[in-house]
Amino acid sequence: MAAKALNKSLNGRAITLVGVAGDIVDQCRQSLTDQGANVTVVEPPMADLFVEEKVDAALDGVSMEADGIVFIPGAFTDAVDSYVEECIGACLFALKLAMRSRANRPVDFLCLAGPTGAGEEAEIAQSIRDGALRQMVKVASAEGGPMDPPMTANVVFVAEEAALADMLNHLLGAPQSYVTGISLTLSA
Amino acid sequence: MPQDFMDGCVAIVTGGSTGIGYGCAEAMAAAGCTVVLTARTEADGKKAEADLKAEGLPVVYVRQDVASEEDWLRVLGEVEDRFGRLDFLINNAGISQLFPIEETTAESLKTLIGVNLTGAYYGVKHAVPHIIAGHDKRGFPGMVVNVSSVLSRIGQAGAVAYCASKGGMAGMNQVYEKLLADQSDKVQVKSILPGYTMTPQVDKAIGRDSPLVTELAETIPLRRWGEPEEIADALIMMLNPAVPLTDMEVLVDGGFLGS
Repeated sequence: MAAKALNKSLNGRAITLVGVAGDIVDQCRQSLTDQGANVTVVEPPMADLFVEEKVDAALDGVSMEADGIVFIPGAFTDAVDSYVEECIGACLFALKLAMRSRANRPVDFLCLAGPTGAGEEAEIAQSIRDGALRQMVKVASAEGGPMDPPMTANVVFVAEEAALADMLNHLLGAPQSYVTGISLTLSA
Repeated sequence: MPQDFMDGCVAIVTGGSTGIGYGCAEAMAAAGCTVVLTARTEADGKKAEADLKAEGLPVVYVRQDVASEEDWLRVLGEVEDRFGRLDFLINNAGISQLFPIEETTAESLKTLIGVNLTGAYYGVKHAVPHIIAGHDKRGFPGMVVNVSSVLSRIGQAGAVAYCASKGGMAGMNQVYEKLLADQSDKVQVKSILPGYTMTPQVDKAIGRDSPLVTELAETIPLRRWGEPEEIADALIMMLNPAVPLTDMEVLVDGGFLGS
């Protein structure tokens, strides 16, 4: 029986981080860089997420040469409605970037969603956001999987102060793994 | 990234002579874990042991009928005597049947449930105390991983016994999550849910290039079957204390259930 252990490495992989600057973006960028990935950070056009021309223009300005797209929703501010809509809009932006990148080579999409904080509004926002993101990666997996080149898509809900390095290695270190369309929860 | 957390650990992988079990045994041993590979058929078990040892991997074969509670006690006793600890149990042994309900006999049902479900239960019941006892040497949670299936969540026509066994396994996990909640720093019981996986058994039974395999691949977003080493890779992630997932189940199905 042939030995075919998976060779996992982020070394040299081109990863585009889509997210507004914050703790998880910083930690993720550092962790990916430490493991040898070439990381580019792209901020979604937060003010124009629901204006297609602006979204298109923003996408046109981004390199489509990524092996992986990591989307990180922004921090919760104070309003459930706007926060949820922004997260979903920004995720769609990141998914479009992933789909366009996929035209050039296989892409692994990963959403990393952190906690929104304490308080009833924050909990409601997180629960609604997480439900939407779960479904968005399922759809991305369903649409992107059959394409040539293909795309995988997953979401990980990460606790505050969770260590990301090994998880990133597992989920992005082996291109096009059979893990796709799922959500996981990472504790600290 | 090296999985050196497994150095010094000891695992039992049931049904480890072929397919997903073999892939798990290989991946865990390659990560430094001593693997006790069990299988009912001695010739298959010894061949797997020899093949993995030829790769330089620390693997030992022990014969086991997982449907026998006495056999579980014997195997766990042997592991304790020989290695002095147990850190992981991969409850992988399983059989499948494809019969419509009316053609599923009482005997065939008992056989399948005995291996797939009751056998897994014996494993959890008797291995958990050993894994808890091994915590001081390990320093992180040990784990039982039940190798379940996407058929624990959906019903497939012609697979009533198999679906029942995997559904029962899901129920077993839920109850053990509660029972072991206050010891989750020492042991956890989880499941991995493979989708369609191209094992040697499947290849032999229906053929890797058969129309049925191609037809089923069309129902999977990735448009292909998984390979045993991909299931093993997800297993390693689940066992890794540096990836402390709270999920009780991890799907490895090429996006099948989500689509």
